[in-house]
Amino acid sequence: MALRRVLRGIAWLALAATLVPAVAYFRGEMELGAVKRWMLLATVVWFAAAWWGSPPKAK
Amino acid sequence: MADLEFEREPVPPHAQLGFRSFLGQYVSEHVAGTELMIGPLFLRTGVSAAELIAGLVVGNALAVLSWLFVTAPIATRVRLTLYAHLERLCGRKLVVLYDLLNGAMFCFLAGSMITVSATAAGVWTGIDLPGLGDTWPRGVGWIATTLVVGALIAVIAAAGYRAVARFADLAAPWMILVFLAFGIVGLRQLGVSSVGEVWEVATTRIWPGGAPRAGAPSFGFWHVCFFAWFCNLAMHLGMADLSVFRFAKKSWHAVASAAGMYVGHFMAWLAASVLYAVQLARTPGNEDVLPGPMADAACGVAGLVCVIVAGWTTANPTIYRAGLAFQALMPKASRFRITLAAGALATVAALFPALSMRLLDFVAFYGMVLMPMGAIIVVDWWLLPRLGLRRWWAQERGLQWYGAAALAWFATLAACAALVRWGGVAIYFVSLPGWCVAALLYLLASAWSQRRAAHAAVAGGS
Repeated sequence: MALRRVLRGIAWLALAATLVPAVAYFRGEMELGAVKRWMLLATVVWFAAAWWGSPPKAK
Repeated sequence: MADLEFEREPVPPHAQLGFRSFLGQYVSEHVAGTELMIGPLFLRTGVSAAELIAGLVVGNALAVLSWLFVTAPIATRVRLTLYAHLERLCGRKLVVLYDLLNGAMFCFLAGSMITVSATAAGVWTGIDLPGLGDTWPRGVGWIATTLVVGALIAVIAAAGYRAVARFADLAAPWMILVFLAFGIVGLRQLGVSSVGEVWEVATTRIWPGGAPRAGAPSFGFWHVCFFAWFCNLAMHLGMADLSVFRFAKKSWHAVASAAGMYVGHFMAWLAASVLYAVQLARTPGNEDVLPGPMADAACGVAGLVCVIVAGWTTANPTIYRAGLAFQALMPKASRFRITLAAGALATVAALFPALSMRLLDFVAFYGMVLMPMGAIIVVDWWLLPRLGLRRWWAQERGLQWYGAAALAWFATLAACAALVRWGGVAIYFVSLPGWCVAALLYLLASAWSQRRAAHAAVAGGS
């Protein structure tokens, strides 16, 4: 239960991290190559954390 | 065994769902792979930024109001699937014909979603991707990639629909943010560096307005408005979503459709349009609409994954629904095999790029073909009893084919086709008068046929 709560927290952070690099690029604070790498990492973390962090019945 | 999907009976109170269920469903269904085709195709029509945005705001509002005031009130009163409702209204044989057409349309729609996913897979495999004017498959590489993507989607839809539906729920919030990222990154690539510059770039570099590009129709406010309103025509005024809202506790839950419209059919279309504007700015000679390469240029592998997932998660339920529609024709055939066959048909359709490249026309055609049945349901439910006529006449008389409904459907389609073919009316505009014509024809034909039956009964009795 506690692990699932942690995973859900990680999932929300990963979701935010999906968009933040694009905003940073828009503001001129990040290169496009870095945006692509960060978005990929956030994507992997989101799917892993959201899948294992959701209730077993939902799976 | 209890019918857990309530396919033949009204949804009981304990199975009814709250507002949030519909919010999630509409958002995930309307952020699809095809949004990545529609956004660029808008840009090609020469529509201006103001016309596009105003048209989308008004058209999407009209779509939401159609769900709210036309579909949901009947759905929450009757609580039957569209097919069960139609069977009571117009008889089994007419429903079979409707199923056949609906299933075929679903297959073509799923085909365009497979095409979108295949363009992303093609970026990895390095194949020659189809061009804007291509009708036939381009090369062995495209055929092989599309067949593999289509086969995977078809097998998964047949064997593991529920697992993919679960995955689609997970993917939905992430996909929305990646679509938003497409737009934000695209704006920067067009030279925007602050929010204050967005409108200037939108009106001068993205949607400046003017003549359409070669081979594209010319769009203004009304074209965009009617397209946005009617791209889901089969679902709202065509009443297919009776099957969805029969589960709603209250009819106002249809407001949830606004989330799908303004995220998928507003933000996602605009973001996809921005990606295409970037491509045109960088390589002016390259007018191909290929979601894979466009997403790759903006967001890299995450963008490609988004294109594949967006195509896959929406093709999955579409193929599943096509399988259900075909299964009504062959109730004894296994659902697995029928869904697999529907997936095979969708995959063959996906091989031909013309389907995706002319998606605006196909979506309008799809709505036009199924729309008359929605008008028939509305008149049958609300008007006939007020005029002293009987609703659900086929059920009452034990008819397999109710002539009044068939006449209203076919005559409306013939009139709409004639208007498009010889009247010079754009296909996006014919469905509104068509809906009214279908309603009027059904009303007149029902009155005639029910009075005739009453006279025959009196004559037979005397």
